[in-house]
Amino acid sequence: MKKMKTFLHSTSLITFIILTGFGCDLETDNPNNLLEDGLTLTAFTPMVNGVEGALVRAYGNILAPYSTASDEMIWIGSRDAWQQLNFGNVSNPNNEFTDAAYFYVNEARYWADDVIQRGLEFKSDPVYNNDSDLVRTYIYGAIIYIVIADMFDDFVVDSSKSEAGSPVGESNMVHLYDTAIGYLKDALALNAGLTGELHALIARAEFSKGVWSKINPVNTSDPLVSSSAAVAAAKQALSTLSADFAYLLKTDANAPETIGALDIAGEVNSRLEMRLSDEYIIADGPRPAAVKDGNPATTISLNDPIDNVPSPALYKLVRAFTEPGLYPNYPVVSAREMHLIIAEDALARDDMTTFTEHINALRALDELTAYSGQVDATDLLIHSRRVNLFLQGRRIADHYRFNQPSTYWIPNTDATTSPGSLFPITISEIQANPNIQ
Amino acid sequence: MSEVFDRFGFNIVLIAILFSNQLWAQYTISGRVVDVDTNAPLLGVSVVISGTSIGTATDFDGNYILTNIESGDYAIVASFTGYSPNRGQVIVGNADVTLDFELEYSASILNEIVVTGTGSAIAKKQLGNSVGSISTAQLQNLPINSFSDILQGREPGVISLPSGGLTGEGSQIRIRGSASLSQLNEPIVLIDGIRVDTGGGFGGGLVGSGGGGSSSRLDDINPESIERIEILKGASAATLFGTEASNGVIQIFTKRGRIGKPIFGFKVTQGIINFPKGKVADNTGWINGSASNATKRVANVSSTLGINVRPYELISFNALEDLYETGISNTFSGDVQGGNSLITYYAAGRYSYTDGPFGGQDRIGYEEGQSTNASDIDELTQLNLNLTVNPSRKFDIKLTTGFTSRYLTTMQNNNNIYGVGSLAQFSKPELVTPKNTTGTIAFATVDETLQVSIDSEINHYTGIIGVDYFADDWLKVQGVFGVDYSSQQSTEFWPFGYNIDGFSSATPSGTRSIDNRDFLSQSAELKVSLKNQITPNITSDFIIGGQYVSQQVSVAGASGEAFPGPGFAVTSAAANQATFEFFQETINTGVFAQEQVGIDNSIFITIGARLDAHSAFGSEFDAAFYPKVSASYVPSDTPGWSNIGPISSLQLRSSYGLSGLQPGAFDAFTTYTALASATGAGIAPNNLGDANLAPEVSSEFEIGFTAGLFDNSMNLEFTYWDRVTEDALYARQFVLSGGFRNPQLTNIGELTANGIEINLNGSVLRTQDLQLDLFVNGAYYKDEIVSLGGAPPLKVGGSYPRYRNFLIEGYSAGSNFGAVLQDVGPNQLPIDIANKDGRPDTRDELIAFFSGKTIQQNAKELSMPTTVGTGGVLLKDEDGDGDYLDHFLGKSAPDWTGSFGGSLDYKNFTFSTTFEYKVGNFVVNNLTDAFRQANGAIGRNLPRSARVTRDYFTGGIDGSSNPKNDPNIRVDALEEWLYDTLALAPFSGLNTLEKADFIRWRELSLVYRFDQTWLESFGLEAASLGISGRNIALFTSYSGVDPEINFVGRGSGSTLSQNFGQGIAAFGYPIPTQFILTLKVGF
Repeated sequence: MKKMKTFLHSTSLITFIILTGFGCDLETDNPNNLLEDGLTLTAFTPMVNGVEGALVRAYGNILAPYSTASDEMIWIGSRDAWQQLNFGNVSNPNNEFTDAAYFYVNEARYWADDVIQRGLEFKSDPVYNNDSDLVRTYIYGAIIYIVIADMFDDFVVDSSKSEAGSPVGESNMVHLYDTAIGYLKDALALNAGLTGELHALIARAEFSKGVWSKINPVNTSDPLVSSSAAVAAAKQALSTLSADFAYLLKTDANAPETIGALDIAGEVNSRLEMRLSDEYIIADGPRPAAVKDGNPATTISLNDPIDNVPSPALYKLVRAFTEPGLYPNYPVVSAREMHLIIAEDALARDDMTTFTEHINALRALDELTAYSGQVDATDLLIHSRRVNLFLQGRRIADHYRFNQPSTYWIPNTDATTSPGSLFPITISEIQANPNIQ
Repeated sequence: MSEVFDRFGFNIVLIAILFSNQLWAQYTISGRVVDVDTNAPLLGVSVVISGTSIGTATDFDGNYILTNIESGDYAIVASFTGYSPNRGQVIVGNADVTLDFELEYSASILNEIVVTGTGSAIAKKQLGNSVGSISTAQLQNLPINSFSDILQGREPGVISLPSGGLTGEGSQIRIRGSASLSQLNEPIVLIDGIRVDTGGGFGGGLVGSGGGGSSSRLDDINPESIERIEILKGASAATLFGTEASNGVIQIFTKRGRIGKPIFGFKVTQGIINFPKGKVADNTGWINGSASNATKRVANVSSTLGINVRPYELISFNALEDLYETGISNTFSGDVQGGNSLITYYAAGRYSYTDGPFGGQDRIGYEEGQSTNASDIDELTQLNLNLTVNPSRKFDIKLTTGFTSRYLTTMQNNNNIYGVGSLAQFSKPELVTPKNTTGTIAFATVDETLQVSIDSEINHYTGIIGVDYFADDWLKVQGVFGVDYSSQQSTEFWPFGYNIDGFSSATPSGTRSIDNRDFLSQSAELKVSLKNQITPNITSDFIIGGQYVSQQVSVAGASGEAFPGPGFAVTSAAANQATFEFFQETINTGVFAQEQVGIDNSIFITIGARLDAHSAFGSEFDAAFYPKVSASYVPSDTPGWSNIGPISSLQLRSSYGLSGLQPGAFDAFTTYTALASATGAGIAPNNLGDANLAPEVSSEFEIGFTAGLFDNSMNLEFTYWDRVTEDALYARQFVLSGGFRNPQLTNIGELTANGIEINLNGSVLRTQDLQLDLFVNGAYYKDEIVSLGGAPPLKVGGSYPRYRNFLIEGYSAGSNFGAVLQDVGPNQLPIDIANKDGRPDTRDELIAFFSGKTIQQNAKELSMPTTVGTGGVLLKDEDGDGDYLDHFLGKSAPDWTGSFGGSLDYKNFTFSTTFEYKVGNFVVNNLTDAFRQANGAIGRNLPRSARVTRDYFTGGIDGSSNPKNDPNIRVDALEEWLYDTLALAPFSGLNTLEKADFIRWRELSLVYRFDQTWLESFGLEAASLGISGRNIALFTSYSGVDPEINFVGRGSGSTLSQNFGQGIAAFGYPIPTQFILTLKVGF
């Protein structure tokens, strides 16, 4: 009996201590992240900055495979899936780089849509004073929709978190431009600044719709785009902004997460997996030669068709891209593109006067000789697009519609056998999304 | 008064307790313990008074003494690994008492006492589950450098995986394979009851080497301080450890002091270390004579290598092996132990310095003032102090402390474009120049990456207080409390202008990254155990207890890029600066209870359970319950037992139990992370979250037997186990279009595994002068992913196509999948370049295709074919789904692992050896050679692939190295290209995965023990001189550098990579061979 009492006393004491400990607070701190209830109005500006960061990261990462699949870059490194893109295998859903970029592009698309929605809900809050933030969010949202439509054959945009949406469908991709335009017009309606930029982006979106129609299916017999909506917006932008303006997506060494894992600057300027191609530059090993000397002749291999000098516009873009190393800024839309839009629209309508006016406005920015019929107008337009939109995600569409395939494409690849091919929905989405056959 | 007591009261009580036994104790019990066969004194035999905390160990002469013993009757038990325990009875009256023991060799483990997972000290024969145990006394002649070495090849089913051969590299540990699809499959590790840091790598998010050269916090433990190790291999044994134990439990017991005069021991080792030569194929290349730069390249090769070459002639050297040197290792260690009945002590110190076999100090490309910064050094200073205080026979306090200070430096390595070894193996002789002496094509030169250094400084402290209160001979209360704290600072430094050859573009102005990782584990365990003799035939052992474990990891890092000039070596001097900080805390508490009923001391039935709460469980989850049941029957302990053939003792056992594995600290929550933009601080999606997240639960059934053979001179253990992990946590990739990039852990998987473990060991010859002990063990392992709950497969490395290890339903976890060439008829090749009709070309078609083709006119057509399908290489796609990479190419884990070896004692000499093997049905992804054989830019520099590409291009060369443009030679080269050389995307897996069975001669030693009579003239009691070797030789058909290495290292890379990337070799260094001279003295 004494034995049992001793045991019971001991075990009672120990059990009490243990159970007291067992009931201790299991709440632990997580200072690393924010929970859903932290996304209040006070966090709206950071949310918009986050959309910007996600967009910049997505853009840098999708621009790498896009440019590698064009004639703008050539693979020189170790990871052969770049070479497959270089060869023109653009439609492979298993390509590791397209797939990796797809993650970021989706994140940017989702987060932009989500933050726009949150912003609209915040508007009813009495202390809401964030229209300028909302305008920025609309711009970021519009840009990612334009990029998706420019670069992908198909996409999924109506998923949310773990809920799987259905693909847009190849024939409906053009409507993504409408979403972008809708966002931009909503932003204009807020009347909260960036009006010129908004018009420029509308011009780009409207014009890209036209380009899309030229490669879906590819129409090499009538490649020029005519878009009055684009022209109207372009003229609005030119009248509002400076003569050589450019809207830039900015990377920043103080925001290193925005460059992502496989972004174009890291792959080209640091890792040396690719380099700018011989079609555009004079290479010194893995880099453009003498890019800092201020002399296009030592760096640029692509000459202006009228002046027969290395393209100054190209030189500026090459230098702007390579000099900052990991942290370049990416032009999304510019005064130069506005002139190109208006010029092409005019050319498509055989309005040589307007064409000449705007192509010369463009050439004047680089102090080049004015165009007066020295070369074929379409050839000049194509060249002008090459050098003024270099590394801006437009080249593949031009390869297709102008029937000028990349010199690096080889027979039996998608770009050669199925002109018009762009990036697919990639394998990671296919495996996770039951709505994709 | 109370103030006075506050100031002095505690001390008075403490002194009273400490010295109270002096009032009771008056006499001594002493004696000598010898081997009954050899009459040799036995050192380190445990001698304890049964049912009390009073005990000691024998000295060099086999003597023991127990002091301050009150008058009374005592049962004394002498026990020692490898011997049958012996029990003696003494009556202490009014004088000192002598009691000698003769211990008889016994390989049987049935009476071996274990404590881990059992609640209290218990003989193995009472357990229904197997418990592995390793006594370091049995390893004292072997070349042991670390805790990882102690585990390697000792216990079936326990694998210590060396990730690579770089100095200080930590091993990964696996017990019975992988119980989890998503959580790190490392066991939990305890030292004397306290959870310790099992981390590895460089500690944070900024510093990285590329995978290799990363240390393990477990190797901070002083191997000389370890007395023994107990291993719980699975859920059924580890139930009482609950939520974090389904990958098994390893408990380390440190040495403690013995009663008696101080005994000193010193050990000095000197060693040399070498990478095996001839494992890495020569860098081979040729100069394209038709290229415009041919003349320049010929001149560069001539001026750089000092040889004259002709275009198309094969040129070779070995850029990696040129970086090797003979490494050295020195170790100085010493310990002292002793004490009295009140207090015993064990103190140890160890200093170890290893400068490994990586050299690269003298480079022909260096100009005046240039030198190498990268090196491979591992330096440890380790201190231990263990005290055992016995204030009374009912009470003891055990204090355990260990401290390690460690410095480790390594270089960029493994699958890393800036890895020194990677660049050396990328190198192409035809590209050498005076400023690029190995001929790298991209990224950096070898000499440039030799400027980069990676250092880690680690301080690691473990402090434990254990209290045992023997309330009565049937009631014991135990508590253990302790902390394990490690602090690691790692630095990666690329000096300003490190690109000394002007080649690399990556941060040419230098960069420096620093990671600081602090780990703190606080553990407490309380338990009370009751022994009860219910009837004369029935005993009861009941235990109830609780455990609390809190672990905090805090990481802070900084990086700076672009220094203003040379000499700056702080992040704050750089133009671009970034910081990183991370904090994680987990708390696990649990209560457990267990009852064991013994019947006739031959049948033992155990039931028990643990109830757990954990901070990582989702908000919808309360607590986890883990039950266990086991039974042991020992017919050899029943009356009337007689040997069955050679079987002299026998235990039949079976057990069933559950244990779990918790998700990460914050996996249950939807979270948003910081993502700054150029505009300012930002927020972006991070973790999708799952409010229902719960621990995954592994249930394990085990059945087996333990048999003593030939009068227990041999011991045979056999165990079959079967494990099911249900609600397995799986990192599900939800739709990317949903906006959250990171996969989310969900309880949707099911993983099964089973295996057998066989261990045979013992003495086959035992005379006074000659003893021969042998052992052989093996473990069979088979696993299958039963379900992923409808989630898509996962692949190691994500979208990176060169790693081919997948988690796919119906296959072993980590199985390889990839491309396979299309089957073709005779006289055909799986290629369609001749007529582009989508069908295999015949040799005749190909010969016709190549006929007339010359380098001058058709150079572009003579590059190796690297596209798939019509007009290219033809791959299999049996199911027609367009996926060429879905062919099963082999498991990454072998069917069988194990070891064998033994020791031979002849007079004063002892020869010991260990072989370890992995065999059966597994492959290694030899990615190193895949790059080197196929990659169009950085590869095609193996001797074979250089010849193939040269012959394809030239159609063979004549005696003057002129192209012959022979179509037959081109077709032969094409065939070799397709079947031996072609690899990498889009042919991932092809010609890459190799059968990797191997036997490694792991350990060898020859030790001479000096005669004691001779030593006594020097005042010594023991001394020995030994020569030993580690990783002596490797027997394998695997053609890569080493089948044991992998790309990920310990603690580097993702959890998925660490779990299932073990069969991927990518530019790692081979396991080096080490020879050591050891001198030991004791007095």
